[in-house]
Amino acid sequence: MNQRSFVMAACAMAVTAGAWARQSNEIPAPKQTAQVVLRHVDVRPCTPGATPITDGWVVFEGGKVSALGAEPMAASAAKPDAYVIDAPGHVLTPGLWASATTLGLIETAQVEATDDTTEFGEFHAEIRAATATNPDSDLPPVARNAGILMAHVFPQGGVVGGHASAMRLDGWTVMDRTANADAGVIVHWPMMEPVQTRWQQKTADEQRKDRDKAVAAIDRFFDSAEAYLRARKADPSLNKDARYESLRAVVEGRERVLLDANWPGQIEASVLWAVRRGYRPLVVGGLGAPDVAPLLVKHKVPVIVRGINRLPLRESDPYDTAYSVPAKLQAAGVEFSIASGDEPAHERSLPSQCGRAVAHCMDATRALECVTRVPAEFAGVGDRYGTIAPGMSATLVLWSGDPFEIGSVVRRAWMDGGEIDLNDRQKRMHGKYLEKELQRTPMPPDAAPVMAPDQPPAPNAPKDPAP
Amino acid sequence: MRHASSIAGPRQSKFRALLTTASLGAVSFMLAETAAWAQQAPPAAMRPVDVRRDAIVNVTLVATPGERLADAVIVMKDGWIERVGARGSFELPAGTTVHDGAGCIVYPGFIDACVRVDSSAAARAAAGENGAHWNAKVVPQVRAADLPTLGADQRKELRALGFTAAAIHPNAGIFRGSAQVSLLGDEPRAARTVRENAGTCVAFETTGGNDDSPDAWDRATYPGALIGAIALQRQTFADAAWHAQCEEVWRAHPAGNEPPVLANALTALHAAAAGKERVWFDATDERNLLRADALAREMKLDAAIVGSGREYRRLAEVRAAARPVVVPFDFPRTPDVQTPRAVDAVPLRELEHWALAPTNLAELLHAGVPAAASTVRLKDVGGFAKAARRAMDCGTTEDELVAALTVNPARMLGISEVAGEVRAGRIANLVVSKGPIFGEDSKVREVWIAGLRHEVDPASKFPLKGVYALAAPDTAGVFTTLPESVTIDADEKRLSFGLPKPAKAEDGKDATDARETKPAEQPAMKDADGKEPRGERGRRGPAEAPSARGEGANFDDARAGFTIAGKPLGIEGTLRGSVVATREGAEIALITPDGRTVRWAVPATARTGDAPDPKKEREAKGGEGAKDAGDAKDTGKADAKGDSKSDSKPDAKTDPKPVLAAIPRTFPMADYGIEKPVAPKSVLVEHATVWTVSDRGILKDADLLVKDGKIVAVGQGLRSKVTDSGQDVMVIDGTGMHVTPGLIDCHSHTGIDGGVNEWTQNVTAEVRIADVVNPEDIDWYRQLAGGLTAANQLHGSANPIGGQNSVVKLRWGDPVAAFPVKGAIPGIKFALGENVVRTKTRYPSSRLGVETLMRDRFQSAREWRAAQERYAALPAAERERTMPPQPDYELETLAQILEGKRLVHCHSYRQDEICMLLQVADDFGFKVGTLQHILEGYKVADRIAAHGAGASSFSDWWAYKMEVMDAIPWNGQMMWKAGVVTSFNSDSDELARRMNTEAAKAVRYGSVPREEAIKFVTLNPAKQLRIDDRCGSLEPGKDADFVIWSADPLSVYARCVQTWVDGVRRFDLGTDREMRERDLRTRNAIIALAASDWGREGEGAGGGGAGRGGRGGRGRGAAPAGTAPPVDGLRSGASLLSRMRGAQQDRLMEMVRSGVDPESVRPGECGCDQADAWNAMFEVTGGEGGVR
Repeated sequence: MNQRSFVMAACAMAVTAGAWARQSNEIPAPKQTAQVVLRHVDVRPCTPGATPITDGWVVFEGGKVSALGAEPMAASAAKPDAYVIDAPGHVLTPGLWASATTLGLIETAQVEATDDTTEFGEFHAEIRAATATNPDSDLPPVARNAGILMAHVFPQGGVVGGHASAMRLDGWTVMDRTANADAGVIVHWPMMEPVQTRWQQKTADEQRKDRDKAVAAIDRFFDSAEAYLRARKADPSLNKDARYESLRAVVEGRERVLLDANWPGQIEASVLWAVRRGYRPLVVGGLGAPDVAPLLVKHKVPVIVRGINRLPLRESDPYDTAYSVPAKLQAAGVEFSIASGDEPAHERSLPSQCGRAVAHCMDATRALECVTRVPAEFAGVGDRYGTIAPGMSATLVLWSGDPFEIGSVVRRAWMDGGEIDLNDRQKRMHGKYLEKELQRTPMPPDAAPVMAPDQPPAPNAPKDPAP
Repeated sequence: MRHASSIAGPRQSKFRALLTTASLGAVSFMLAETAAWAQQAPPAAMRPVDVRRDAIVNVTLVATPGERLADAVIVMKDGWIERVGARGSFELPAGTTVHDGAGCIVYPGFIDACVRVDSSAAARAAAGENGAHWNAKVVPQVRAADLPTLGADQRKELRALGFTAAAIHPNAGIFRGSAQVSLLGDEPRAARTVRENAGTCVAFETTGGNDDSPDAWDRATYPGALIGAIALQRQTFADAAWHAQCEEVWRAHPAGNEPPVLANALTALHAAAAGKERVWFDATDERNLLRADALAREMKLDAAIVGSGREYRRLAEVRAAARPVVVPFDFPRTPDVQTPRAVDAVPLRELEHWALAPTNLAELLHAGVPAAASTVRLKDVGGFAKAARRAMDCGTTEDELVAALTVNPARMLGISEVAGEVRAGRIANLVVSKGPIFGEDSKVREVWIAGLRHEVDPASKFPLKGVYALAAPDTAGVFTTLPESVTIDADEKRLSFGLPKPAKAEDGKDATDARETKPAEQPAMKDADGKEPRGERGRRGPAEAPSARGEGANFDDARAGFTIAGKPLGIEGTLRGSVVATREGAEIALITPDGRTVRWAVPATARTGDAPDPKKEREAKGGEGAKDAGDAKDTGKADAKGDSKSDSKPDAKTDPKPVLAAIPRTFPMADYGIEKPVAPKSVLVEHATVWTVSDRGILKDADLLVKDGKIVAVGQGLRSKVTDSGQDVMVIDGTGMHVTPGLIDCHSHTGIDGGVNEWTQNVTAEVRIADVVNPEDIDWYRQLAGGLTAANQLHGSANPIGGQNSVVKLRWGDPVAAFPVKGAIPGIKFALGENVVRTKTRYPSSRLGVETLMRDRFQSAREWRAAQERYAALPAAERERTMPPQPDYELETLAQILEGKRLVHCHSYRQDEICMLLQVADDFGFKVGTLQHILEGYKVADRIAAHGAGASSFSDWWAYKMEVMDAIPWNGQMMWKAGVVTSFNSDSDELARRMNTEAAKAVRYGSVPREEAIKFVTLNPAKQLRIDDRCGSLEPGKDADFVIWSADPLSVYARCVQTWVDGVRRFDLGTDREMRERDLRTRNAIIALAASDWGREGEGAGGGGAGRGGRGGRGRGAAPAGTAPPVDGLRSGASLLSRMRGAQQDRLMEMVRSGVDPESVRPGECGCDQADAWNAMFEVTGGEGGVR
């Protein structure tokens, strides 16, 4: 077989991708031109029912996976001029998803000007997250170093908060990066039970009244939307209402309604509301979902579990309440995905949060699906992203080991077949101040460039770069 | 007259004695006639003659709790009790007005030890005077004696409960002023002062950082947090003692000395600071009680406590404190069992509190704590009676309750010589009650105050009462059915007619019902109701409960008017009736709608029996209702509400006592409370992988031997070294497990009550986190479940020089006294950067001013210490005539830093400010303990290493604000490599539960060897806190703090199996599961009680705020629905401030809505973000009812 090994330089300053990215400022990946073959790698396809392939191979070209299997690979599976990467001991997964995140909408929480998460008012169904996810934000490159290549971005605030969008975390422009602009409409469901704390000045009755008012307002909004859409159907000359127009897909059951609900009462009430209206609900948050699992199963309502590293809702709850939500939902037969529930800068905790769920009795294979295939489906792009299967996007992550372990490092990653620049702001700062050390302790002029201690050579890198 | 003369002597001499002591300021009791008459207008006509000798006869007397005298006589003269005895044991003096109290019980007049009055105006005035304290909340010079007296309605309300005297407490401020004991009568001589200065009142009040004026949102006023309130108390008592000393020096040696400044506030506290006057601490929860006690011990005060009602939760400690406690009766509302899922959100502590609050008084008394029952904290004072009844249902005896209302408060208030018992020589304060006090149907009939009668619910003067047979009326033929009897009961406002037993009424059903539902010997009742004519309802009169009616007939002293449905008598429409009565008999008339009148003459001799007991009738009605329910249409609904249960068993009211007795007495009294910690004498863990965190590294298949809380040995084959007998040794098979030292968090805000930031001043070195440690915070337990055993509790980072830290071990299940790590060097929190300059209206508002402020304060501390030392070095004679330097806890603390006795833990991010601080420290000659967060430490690691400070960092947090944009996760490794002692911390209630995987990030980012990485969360923080001689590694001689993990602790898959602190097992997976089941059982039992008739009856009992909420008593999460906690009078009103608070509340609600506990501290906030909002909220309930 006439194979040409594709040699990559791996160094601290820039885990750069060969000839096309000499700068270290996270140049978006170009279109895939050559076929890439990964061999002797542990493949986690994440397709339903699939088990991990230890010592497998994957071929992708034109941005899509063309074939995969267990070694030995037939010689005919790859083109003669394919780039072949030998990765024994490494793990290949689909790109991970950051769900229910604000990645790209905010840079620094305490600098208001960098915050586009929240629109004014209570009912703004018409806004879309995709509009202002900043392609040059410093945060996504950091997340990519935790294998997170895709994001289901949620605007915040309001009661009907607008459209979530499915985003690729690589690309030059918002257009490049948008995978699905209308990936669900968010409804922040009110607290159903009165809350009595020392700062709560309202009585239980007052709170119940507030709650009823809030629920009635949601109902009124959707009633009006449905009435408008009916009227408009009957009379297309009717003036357009941007807010209600944006709910068309939701009302027709094509787009999900994303119910932000954590407490069991919130979940119950909001799900019953959506079911009554004939919408397609999805619960976001879901810390209390195990308490209402039968209801969720009955109506086939899935859940985005927003955070494993969370404190319990209630003082009485067991310390491991949040840790064990996935295991409980799995046992109950509820469909769910896992989100970090963290600030966008800390999305990188997602893999280890999954690991914690596994430590608390969740199935590891399912856990990986909860951050790949399932969130892709929830974001409406499950036909393209989320699994490693022929015809699916070659959006892939090559890990140094178990993706959920903190010690594991992302070696290489591809977005639709194009190799991603894995540099980021933090690596740049690291390199800069390693340079400070270097200046203070001069080294021989012919010494090798500074290496980050945790960046052993990537697969196929030269074994000994020093002369 | 024999008696009179024999009693006058001692009484008058006692009175003189009281006057004498009054002049000493101890007791003033002014019952002198002149005082009473001084306010009387000159008589306009003839001089009124005041006959002032009364006797109450024919009563049962409870002279003092436990001392009963049947058929007693009590003689009162001129406001005093003259003589008490059994009837016939002495002769009544001539001219005595005799009052027949037939059937009544007489108790000593009740005393309320704490009635609050609004003193905010006086406080404001005092704070603006010359000589005022710098802090507007320090106004001890306010005197309740100078405040307007209680309003007439308020006095009447208290009298209706039997109170005859009350201690009036001012309610505004931290030092609120002095209390006064007054009588509660209406006339001047029954409203006199019994004791003018009954102690000074102190509260743990805070401003929430802002004063009350609407334009003051930006103006931070001290204290904003509980730590500040306590520090202010400490400093003020010390100042008062110092000021008194200055005055002494000045009096003795005026020459050459500057006179002490005018300080009205401090002067008012001289006696209290010297322990010569009682200090009343307002303890809004049981932890504040213990804090008050601790402060009183420290400052040597004579403290008493206005309690919270939660004292039973800390009985052992409260007993040890041995402070008198005023017990409020504002029991929580019954938990909401109707709103779906609402009760699930109620923490067990609140459910237990609902159940056990009525036992609090008895628990205290049984423990030997002097306790008085009071109306304090009740929103509706009238709720006291119901609450008292519930307390008795829960096991408080009548004698205990009476003691808590009489002798106990009298003793606490220092008036037991004149009040609290019915004895000759005491003030003539009595309660006359129909039936045992606060019994089911008992009523206070009247109270006597200083010998003057105040009626509450007087017996009617109507001359007839009972059931009377009716002869034929004067006019026959008007009625088809003639009533056979009439029941007259003016006390119950009841007038009803009995119909013939085999009723011949046209409505046969009525008669049948009447037969079935009434005891045969009782005549069927037909009611007269003065209020509404009986229409349709009248038809079923006999079948309906008789007790529901018959009230409302309008009686005066000799006449009554009423209406009655005519149907049972065979007349359409409503009859009007009237009664005219004398002692000899009554004339009864009924007038038909068409104007015919039927009259009966009823002689008194026709009386056939007593009027039925209304209570029994009510029960009979219940039984009847149940039978009716069988065919009633609304049965289903009633069943759903559970009403039928009580109806079907009218006599079997749920007895709460078995449920209460079954509640496990854990510590804390809350979810996951510990009954008895597991503390074997020796522990042997065998065949585990032991991370020694010493030179020996990680040992495979090794043993760990622990004895008496210390590590004895680590190594192979230790079983042979076990010397204890089998039962004292716990052997744990550690095969496949890993053992590490207990994890240590060098930056925690867990378990801090009342706000972590005293940010209202730029320097608050005087505040102490140790004052407000909360051993009940559930997060301690959750963190133990993640292997944490010790924490550095830090003040927040909102000001450059914050408060003193507290280094604790997580001894969940032990009282707070067990928490501090012995031997830890005291520390203090400093802070730099964005947080401390955020307040733009004070210095420093830039990083520039931070440095200069610090230098200025250190210089000040240096000079202050020098002055102190100069004074101490003076020869004794010289010192005596020299004004002493003022005590200053702030400068004292800073001086300790300069002397190397206190470690600085400094919140820092940017490299420039890090270098600045290190330079300041170098210049002042001390070493910084740790740099906290230190996210740019990697930029200046060499500088930090050169100074020798430790670095306590986040593993990988960044981007939440500008100054952390350059943070990188290699930071820890780079500082470690430069030789800095480096740790990873949490700064988070949540993150502190998984510090083991934080250590793993030192491996991930920078390849720190595993043996070194584990030190980031064990030995290194121990070194930084200077407790590495006892914590941080598994070496013989060290404390037995260790964790057993299911796998490699640096793996995300490792679970904490057991956590041991000092050889005591504080967490165990198996025990955790058992506790879940135990708590669920308790929870369900209490919920069942709440759903019972007993529970529903408690709806609104006492009117108190239910569910003050509470993370460890702090306001965690949701709690039972009820009214909002009472708000102190000072801080109500719709000011801008309260509106802003409303906005904050919405923010906090939004957090709850999205499943986040607003009280949990998150990394990077350092108590600076939500805490601000939090503190502002705090003020809302700070005065009353706020649980911290």
